[in-house]
Amino acid sequence: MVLPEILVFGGLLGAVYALLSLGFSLSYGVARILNLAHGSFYMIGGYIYYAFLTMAGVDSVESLLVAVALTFLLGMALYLGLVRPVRSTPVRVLLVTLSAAIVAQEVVSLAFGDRGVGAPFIIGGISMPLGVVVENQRILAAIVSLAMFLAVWLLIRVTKLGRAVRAVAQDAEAASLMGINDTRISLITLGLSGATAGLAGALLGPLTGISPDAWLNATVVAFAVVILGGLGSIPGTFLAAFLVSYSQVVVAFEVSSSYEIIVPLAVIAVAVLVRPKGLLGKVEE
Amino acid sequence: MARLSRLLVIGVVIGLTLVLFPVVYSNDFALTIMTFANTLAIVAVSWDFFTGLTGRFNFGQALFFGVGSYAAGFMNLNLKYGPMLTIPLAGAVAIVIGVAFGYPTLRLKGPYFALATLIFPLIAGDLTFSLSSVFGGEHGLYGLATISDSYVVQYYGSLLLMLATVIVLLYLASSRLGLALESIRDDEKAASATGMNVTNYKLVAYIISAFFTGMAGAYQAQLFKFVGPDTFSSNISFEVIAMTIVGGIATIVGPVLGAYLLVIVLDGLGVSSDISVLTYGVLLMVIVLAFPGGLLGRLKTNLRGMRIRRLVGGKPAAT
Amino acid sequence: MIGPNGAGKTTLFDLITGFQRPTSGVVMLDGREITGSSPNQVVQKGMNRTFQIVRPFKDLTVLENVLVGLIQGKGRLTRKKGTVELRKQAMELLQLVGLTRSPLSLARNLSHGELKKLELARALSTFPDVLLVDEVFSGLSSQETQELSDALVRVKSNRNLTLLMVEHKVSKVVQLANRMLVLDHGRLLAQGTPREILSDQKVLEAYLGRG
Repeated sequence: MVLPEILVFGGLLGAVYALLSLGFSLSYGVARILNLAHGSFYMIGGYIYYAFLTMAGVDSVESLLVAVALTFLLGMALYLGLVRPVRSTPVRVLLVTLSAAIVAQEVVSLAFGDRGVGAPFIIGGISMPLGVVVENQRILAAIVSLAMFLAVWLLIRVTKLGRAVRAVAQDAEAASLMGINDTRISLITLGLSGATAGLAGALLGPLTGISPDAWLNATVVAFAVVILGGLGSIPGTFLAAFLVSYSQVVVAFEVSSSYEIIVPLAVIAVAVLVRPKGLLGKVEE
Repeated sequence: MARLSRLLVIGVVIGLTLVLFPVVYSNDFALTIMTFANTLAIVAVSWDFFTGLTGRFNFGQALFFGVGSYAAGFMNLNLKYGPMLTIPLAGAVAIVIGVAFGYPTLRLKGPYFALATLIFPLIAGDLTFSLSSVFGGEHGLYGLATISDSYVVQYYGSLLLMLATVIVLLYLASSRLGLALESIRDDEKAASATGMNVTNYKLVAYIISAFFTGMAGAYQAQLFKFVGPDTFSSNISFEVIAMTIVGGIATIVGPVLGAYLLVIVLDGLGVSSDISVLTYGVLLMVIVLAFPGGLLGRLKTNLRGMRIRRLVGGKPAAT
Repeated sequence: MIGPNGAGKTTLFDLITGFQRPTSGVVMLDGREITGSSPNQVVQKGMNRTFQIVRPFKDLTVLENVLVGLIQGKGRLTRKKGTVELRKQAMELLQLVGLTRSPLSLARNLSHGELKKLELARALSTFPDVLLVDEVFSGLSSQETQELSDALVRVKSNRNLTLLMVEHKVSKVVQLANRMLVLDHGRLLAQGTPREILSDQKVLEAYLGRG
């Protein structure tokens, strides 16, 4: 009976996907930046965690914090150094982030080899929710992802900063006329984008292993989730993340794991054809 | 008139250089590099024809390259067709795939279409694994026939195909079709307000792009006598984007320079694969930031001039 | 067609020309129904429009802007025009709208007034029988307004077409209109000759508010 396995694994994966995609939803929905290097933050986060943990002898919680902090800074640096100069032409933003992703992949590959790394788990052992054998690391990843997702979502909804972000998302020009500094908001948005993706990478990395080319898959997943859930809708992103993770897990269990990545993406491609605005989409592209 | 003949002279000089290349550099390695460069140049030029002219970003040009490669390999192994037949047929197969994928997706808005193009080659690549009895799985198809074992012949074959592609696509880009496509790039809404069915035009450009890329894939199949799943690789898709951006987008000729530059830098200098990919990543970054039109960006003006002359027979003065 | 802002004039244009789909009602052109046709189909059937916010092909030259429409055939009479004919028609069009800028200048370099002329030329390049013109005088100086107004008069007589204009400049409306429609809150408020309309109480109230 495979249903409990599907429920548990799909749900745990969905939480991490939600966190991963949240950042993309922010950068695309708010700053209108199609950041092809989004998955790179995921990849780099995973590697930073690995490096600090295994090479610098820092403990796991601190390594996690370092990963988050550094990917936050990296997000801001990406914006300031590469995106802002070409902001006015979306095509150039696309290309410059693509080139950044390629460069990041190669730099990491030169530093760590291209085979991929697997960091040790933060907590060992297993648990058995619904009678299913699950690594505690996987449960931890899901819980932390959910907590972080909630935290960022609250930030957007409740704080003054969050309101500014939403204002820019609705109408950047009007927002700047009201004194909201677009650069500051974009910086923070891209920083959060990087940090959330980086955290996802650090959490999931020990379980799946991370390789330098992991950025492409991560970007495609985030992109697909955000489009499926609807641009500009964070609840939509949340919902879509689980739809994607569940369809992936179902395929992996029922059909074969080699189809795992492709079928959900194909499903999304079809879904977008049928309902272009996504499930809960607000922003008309 | 002076500008035209100067371009012509430059073109002839370059053409002669390319033709006489094997005479000067007769070593096998150099010839292989240039043959490879010509093959990728075809893919880049095809990509430019679609994305450069219509402005719709295609992140999966490798789809047609892989389709062409596998079609050629399949036909060679199972139907015993030789390369002279499989190359054009592979182009035709690529057209069919182009219609199949393009028809439902080209009507979508920009980012949605881009995402779809990103996904399709991944799906296709995966299919070669799952249908491994037909497509050889991770081992691919091997033992394919080749036009010739001579490096020189292979070089000239690729050169011929590349020049034919450039000439045909230049002709199309400077025609009414090219004008219609560029108007679509500028403003789809206004373009449809001139009476054209925008989606159909995009589809036409898409399948033309598919045709030549498919042939390039088939050419590589007979060159290496082997086809593998990495013909669908996103590396190829991104490489041709980089080549076109570096060389000059929407110039048709620019991508050739970009291809030569990148292949020579990456494969010709014998640096490690990581360093070479890193180099082209940085090069792409620099060009996007500093020279968005690409190294040969000025050729856009020449293309426009060519088109105007063909459409109205000369450059009109103000009324 | 006149009416206060938000009355739905541009929306009506969108509905008629296929840029939006009506939820109810029917659009008839020349006795045939065209409801739900796509914009390019509407153009093929003989109707075109200008856009309130001009939409030139910025990266193309003035000449090419006009050629895009000229190279499309209209309806079933798609006879491929030769080079000589294209050139003649393109230059005639530019002359008709009074665009004196070099045909080889890029559209992005044109002034606002010139862009309005180009927009008109673009709409005319498909040889429509009915032309919808959306607030074409907005943002123009008095001289530019006069030039464009003269151009419209020339166009109307030269091309023998039906012109439906959305316009705010009362002086121009009185000068150019044969018949007027008044829209308010999505409804037809009144129709008639300019004199009738301008003395209509309902119309004055709609524009100035009650009381």
